[in-house]
Amino acid sequence: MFSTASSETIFQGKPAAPGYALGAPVFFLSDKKTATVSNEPFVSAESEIEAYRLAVAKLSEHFENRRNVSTAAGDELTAQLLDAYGEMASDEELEKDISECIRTGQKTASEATCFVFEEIIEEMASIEDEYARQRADDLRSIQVRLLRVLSGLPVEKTIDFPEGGGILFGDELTPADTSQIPKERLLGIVSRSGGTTSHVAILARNLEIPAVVGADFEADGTAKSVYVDGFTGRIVFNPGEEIRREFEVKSNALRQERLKLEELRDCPAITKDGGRIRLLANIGHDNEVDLALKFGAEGVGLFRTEFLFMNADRPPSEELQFQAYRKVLEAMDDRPVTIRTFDIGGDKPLSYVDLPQESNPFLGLRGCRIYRTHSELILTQLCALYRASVFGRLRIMFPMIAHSFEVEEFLSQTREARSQLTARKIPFDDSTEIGIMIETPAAALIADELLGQVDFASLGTNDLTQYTLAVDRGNEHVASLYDARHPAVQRLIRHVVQVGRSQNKSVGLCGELSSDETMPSFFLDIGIESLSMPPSLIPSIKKRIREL
Amino acid sequence: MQTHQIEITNPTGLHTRPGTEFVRLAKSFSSEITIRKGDKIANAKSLIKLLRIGISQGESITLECDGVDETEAAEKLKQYINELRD
Repeated sequence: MFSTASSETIFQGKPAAPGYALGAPVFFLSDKKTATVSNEPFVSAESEIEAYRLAVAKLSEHFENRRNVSTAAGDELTAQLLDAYGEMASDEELEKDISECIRTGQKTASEATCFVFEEIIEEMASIEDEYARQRADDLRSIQVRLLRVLSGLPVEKTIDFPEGGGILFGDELTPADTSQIPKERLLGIVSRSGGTTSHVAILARNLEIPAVVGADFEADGTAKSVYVDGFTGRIVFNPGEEIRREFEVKSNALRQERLKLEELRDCPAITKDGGRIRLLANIGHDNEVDLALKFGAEGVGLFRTEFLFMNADRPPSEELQFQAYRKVLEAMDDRPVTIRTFDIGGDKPLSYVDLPQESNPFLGLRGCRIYRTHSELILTQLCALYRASVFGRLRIMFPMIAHSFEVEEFLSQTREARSQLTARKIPFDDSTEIGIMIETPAAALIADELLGQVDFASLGTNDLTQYTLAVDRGNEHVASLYDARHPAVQRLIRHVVQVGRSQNKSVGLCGELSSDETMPSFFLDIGIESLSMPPSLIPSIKKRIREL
Repeated sequence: MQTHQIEITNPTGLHTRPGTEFVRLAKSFSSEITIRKGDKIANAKSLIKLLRIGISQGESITLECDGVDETEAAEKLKQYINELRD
């Protein structure tokens, strides 16, 4: 073979799973020729329907065999998807539609399969929802296989994967495709279609290998090697010396970082001279509790519950809420979980909550101010919270307080929820702590009075800054004046922490300021108990504190 | 005919995996079983139809079972949905 020094070709896709890979490319492209309609002539409707049924039976058997292989290999994720494929292939409504198409249109089984699937795929693919689009990909891979069987071909092309490992390139890689590959040989995955939550992305993250999706690459059959960067989505065929060195350096650094992160996960955030701050996670969905655990959070400092109330045409039921709260409490085990009651206002209208049009929603009906007019909503939430309280260490926190009587009203609503549960003979934890968000300057200045009424407080510094400086950070004309490190904000924070210490009540902080790398020494200095932040930021703040 | 209102509480709703199990369970009964969501209607024995109407967390569906084993079918299917956790 005469090799003119093959040159680098670069393509760009969307990063879908982090990591770096360098290896031989393996192309698995859906060969359009094998997915086209067989040109056998139409015989009779009965024989065409029979041919379709036989093809379905063969395909179902194939998926079942594949599923058994996946189950044996411990790959439950793929096994479950293959189960679904079998179910879709043998779908009775699909068979009805295809039989109907064969009869009325005098079409062959192959033509009808093409036509009916195309209609469904088009409908699913047009839905503005990643999940529906993935199902369209799944249906496509079933269609292609049915057409192959109807043309007398084997169910699928096999993927030849080199023993030394390789990087898989495909159009629409489905579980049916990837299930053929021994996982230890898979170094990375690149696909032309698919989103960042597609099967490919999930599989890659589970295997800790890089994945790039939505990559419009040209299949270069002569390329001996390819470099894939799962952080940037860059793909380089025939990488030169420079990129190979880059790969060595970056993949080594990543390995070190992953090891360090793992080590750091179980260490406390403690300074060299023994100063300690507990680092907690902010989460906005029950699913995010996994991230809190992964990044070593010592608890959940702020679980926002608005997701339960948005995107629905009715208020969430007690049961629905209970399940979400219980899931997080159980996952965090004996670590504290602070759940904030809903903070909904005129800036995020809900169809089932009748709120007036306001010219200034941030100074209007929001947070606990709505609890007075919509007591049924807060009572349902409190019942769900107390029901969940027996499954972990729950702390209930409520937002937007400026007056002492608001605290009194909320406390009476918690009493009402408890007595309802007692009447319903449902157990709850009587020692569940109740606390407040401090996010108005008023609450900060009368912290001594407010903390006297509750068990704990958390400083919501985003709103506190906004209200203290009278700056709407969403307003581009004044956004530059927004500064959470403004001395006025720092004095309010210091004051609240001091009050907390004198009353022996715990005070934490859950705004964006908590993950500001320049702030830990200030927080240690004033003696704040905890900082709550997005889970992925915990390791770097922890590292910072351990260096002080 | 048995008619039940059911609320979907598990986070992923009646998507692929729970949907597959649900359809298999529905197929074990001879009754005609349908699911209504708003003005959309689907044969509960067809996974493709269920996926096309899309049943997610927080939504309310109506389960209708009609046939000799309708009581048991309704009870078992309702129980299956209520016990979904993921």
